[in-house]
Amino acid sequence: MNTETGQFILRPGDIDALVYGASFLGSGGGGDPYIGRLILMREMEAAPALPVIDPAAVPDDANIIGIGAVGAPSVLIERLPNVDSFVYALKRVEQHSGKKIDAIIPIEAGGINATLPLAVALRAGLPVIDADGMGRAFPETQMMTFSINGYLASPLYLVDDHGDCTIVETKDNAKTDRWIRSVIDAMGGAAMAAAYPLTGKMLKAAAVRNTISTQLNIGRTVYAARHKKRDPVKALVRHFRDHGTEPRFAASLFTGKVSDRNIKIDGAFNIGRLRISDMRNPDDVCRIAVKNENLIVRQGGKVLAVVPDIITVVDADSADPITTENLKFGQRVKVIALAAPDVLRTPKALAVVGPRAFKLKCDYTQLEDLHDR
Amino acid sequence: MRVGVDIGGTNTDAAIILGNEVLGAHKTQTRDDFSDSVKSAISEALKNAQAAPADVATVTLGTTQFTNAFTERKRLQRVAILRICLPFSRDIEPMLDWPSDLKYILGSNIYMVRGGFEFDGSEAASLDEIGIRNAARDMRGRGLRHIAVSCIFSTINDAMEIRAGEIIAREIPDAHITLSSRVGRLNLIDRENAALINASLGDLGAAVVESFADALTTLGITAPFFVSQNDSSQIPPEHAARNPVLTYSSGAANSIRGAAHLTQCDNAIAVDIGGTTTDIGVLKKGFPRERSRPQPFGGVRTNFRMPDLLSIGLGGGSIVELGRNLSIGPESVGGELKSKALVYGGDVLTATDIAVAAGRVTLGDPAHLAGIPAKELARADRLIQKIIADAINKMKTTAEDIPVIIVGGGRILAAHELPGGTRLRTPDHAGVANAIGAAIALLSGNAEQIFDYGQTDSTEAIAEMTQRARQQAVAIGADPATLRVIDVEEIPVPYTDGKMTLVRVKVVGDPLMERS
Repeated sequence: MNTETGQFILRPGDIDALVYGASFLGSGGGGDPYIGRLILMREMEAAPALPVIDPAAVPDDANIIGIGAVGAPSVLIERLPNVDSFVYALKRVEQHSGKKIDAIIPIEAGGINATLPLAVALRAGLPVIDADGMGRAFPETQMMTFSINGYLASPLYLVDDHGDCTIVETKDNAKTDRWIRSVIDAMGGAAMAAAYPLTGKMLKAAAVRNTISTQLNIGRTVYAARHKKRDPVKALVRHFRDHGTEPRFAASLFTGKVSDRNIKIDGAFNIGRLRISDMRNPDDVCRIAVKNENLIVRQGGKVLAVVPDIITVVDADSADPITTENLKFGQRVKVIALAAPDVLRTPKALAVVGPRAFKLKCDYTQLEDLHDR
Repeated sequence: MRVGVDIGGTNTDAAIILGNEVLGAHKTQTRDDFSDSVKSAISEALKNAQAAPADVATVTLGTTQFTNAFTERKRLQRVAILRICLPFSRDIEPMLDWPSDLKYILGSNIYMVRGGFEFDGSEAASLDEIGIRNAARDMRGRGLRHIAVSCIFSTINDAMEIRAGEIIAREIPDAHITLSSRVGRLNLIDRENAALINASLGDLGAAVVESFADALTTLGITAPFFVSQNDSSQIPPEHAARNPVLTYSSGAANSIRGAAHLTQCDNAIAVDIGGTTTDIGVLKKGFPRERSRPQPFGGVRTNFRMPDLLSIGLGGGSIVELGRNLSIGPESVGGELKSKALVYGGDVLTATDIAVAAGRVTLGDPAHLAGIPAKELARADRLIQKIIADAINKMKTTAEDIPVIIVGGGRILAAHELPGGTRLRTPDHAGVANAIGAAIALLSGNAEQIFDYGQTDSTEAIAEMTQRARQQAVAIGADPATLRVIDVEEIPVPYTDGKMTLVRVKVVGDPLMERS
């Protein structure tokens, strides 16, 4: 980041590190980043430089809009999203509001939506903000920090690849969520969305900041460790332990083998639990509760990490993050946790994204307080 | 009686079985003209079994030839891909992340036309038949006749792929057309990749099937023959000739099933030690546990139904380096073990030499090992046991004891009891488990469709898919009386209020045989 201009340039060589970081922040959810990675890769062949702007450098009156694909992952792997359809959505936003869009913000930091908005920004010739509405992946739209801070998703634009558009306008984000589920179903199970019109001032008040930088930071740390043939997990923990900026802390929680995987699909959610057993002592186990993303890790009666802190399961050998649906019985894994950004740890945020909001019977304790510094 | 043949890179094995009994088997080196190796393996095995060609009820061929052709980039054809998708799926064009050597060999002849389905099989965009005709004429002009066709949600509805195939065949009469719905599952890119790999193999499928048929004719065998596919079931030769990609990694699947058959175990870990690699798979209810993650194949992402395997670079021919940096493999002398290994008078210390030194097997002349300190050899042997034990541990899913079956030509490397106390079971005929797996192969039928559970209930949907899967299996030669359902999946499609559900059913059965 150039501190004078408050921006840096994302280049094709950054894609691998970015995708690694996004998968990590997916916390077991967010879906397969493969398609988003391909789209960004292709877009960067044509336009190899994307300006990424620090939220602190955004003028208060700037117009910003959130971008992301919504719908069923099983539809998005057949009907691959088109970048132009998002650009059309941006055009509709400008026509409808009468205001020019100055920059794009990803709605979440995990899975396909970590990379897709960047490809859209390149195609539209707009910069992207180094921030997003979750700082990770969460299962529900009202868990976005924009929503937690009282900003409306409306007017929300859903477009398809035929160039058709639905505009949803409500005064209540929960209602928007219900309505768009019906609309998405009618649109074939997936749609391209533009939502959360924000001003620069709102952005600074509500966004999870510097998440693109964090993704790059995570990815580069791991790639550097691999290059030096060092343990990537150890490198991550060392890098983020007492880190000056967010994320401020990381911890390696458990190493073992997936010994039980009881995950069921319930509506739009993967719900269930995972058990990981120590390789030498099978009675030493840790358990992870899942709702799309990993919510809590317990060992014996002790909590090792809990939402909104980021809990990620990685392959024990490669350190590649594994999404819950790809996690195999018998796979050797490590469980790592990363401290959530401060904006997710306020009492207002914890009421929506803390343990109680997920019906867990415990209060939030920061990762730093559960482990030795 | 049934005959199974496995053509590997190093050896060609044949086995004759009747019910649970192995009547005869033979192992021979794979020669350049593979039909020679097939002929000698089968005729020797028949001799061992004291059986006549007329006694044979079915023959099943497992082969790695197609796998090797693609991974070694040998004899691949220039291909064209027609994707039926517009206005959707435009930005990620076919072959986008393929290795550049493959793109160069296969060419980048990409055509995208209007069409495709919704997840429920209804039309998402009308099919552009004129666009397909124009694409086919362009392909013809470029001299392309190996053509892959893909379409959005074609596993749910294959009508547009079939129609496109007809149009292309009219414009290019000698076209070899691969429809993605015949070779892949849900996931457009992975399925399209499988279709492209298949197209690139060109007429190799037909050539291999034909020369195998010729070999059987020469032997006087008139029984129907089949080819093993990657989920360990078998398909008729005409399917394999058209879609050879379906046979990928069938060798490993056959070994696992063969190990199960030889021990009559339904749940076990199967370890197959060959000349260069060791494959470890898990047997669940008599079938190989399938891999859930997409598997890159020769650098290309695919989603075939494949056994979940752990492959490590340890085999009978693995080269051993003694000393401070003791190492075993992954380099191997492969098929040249009998000329290169020390015990055979060669000059390379191999894992087989270590097994001989450990007294686990009597082979060649142990005197050739006299110059090496016994301590060093013992240390190498301990490392081999540790490598095998660690690999088995990685595939184990529970702390409970599960039988571990060891098969393959390199099985002599392993001790009967590994560090950590795991005991290995070595059945008779373990050296030809892959051929036995081929011989007992079943025929399968697979059906998948997305149902609206608001309109059709789960029982009806499963019954409909079971019926379709059964018809498929019977159409390729299964005995209806033996068909059984081995897998039912109901996967709700999110964002549809939990009503739309993908239903998948798999059935298997024995081939219909005129004699047992």
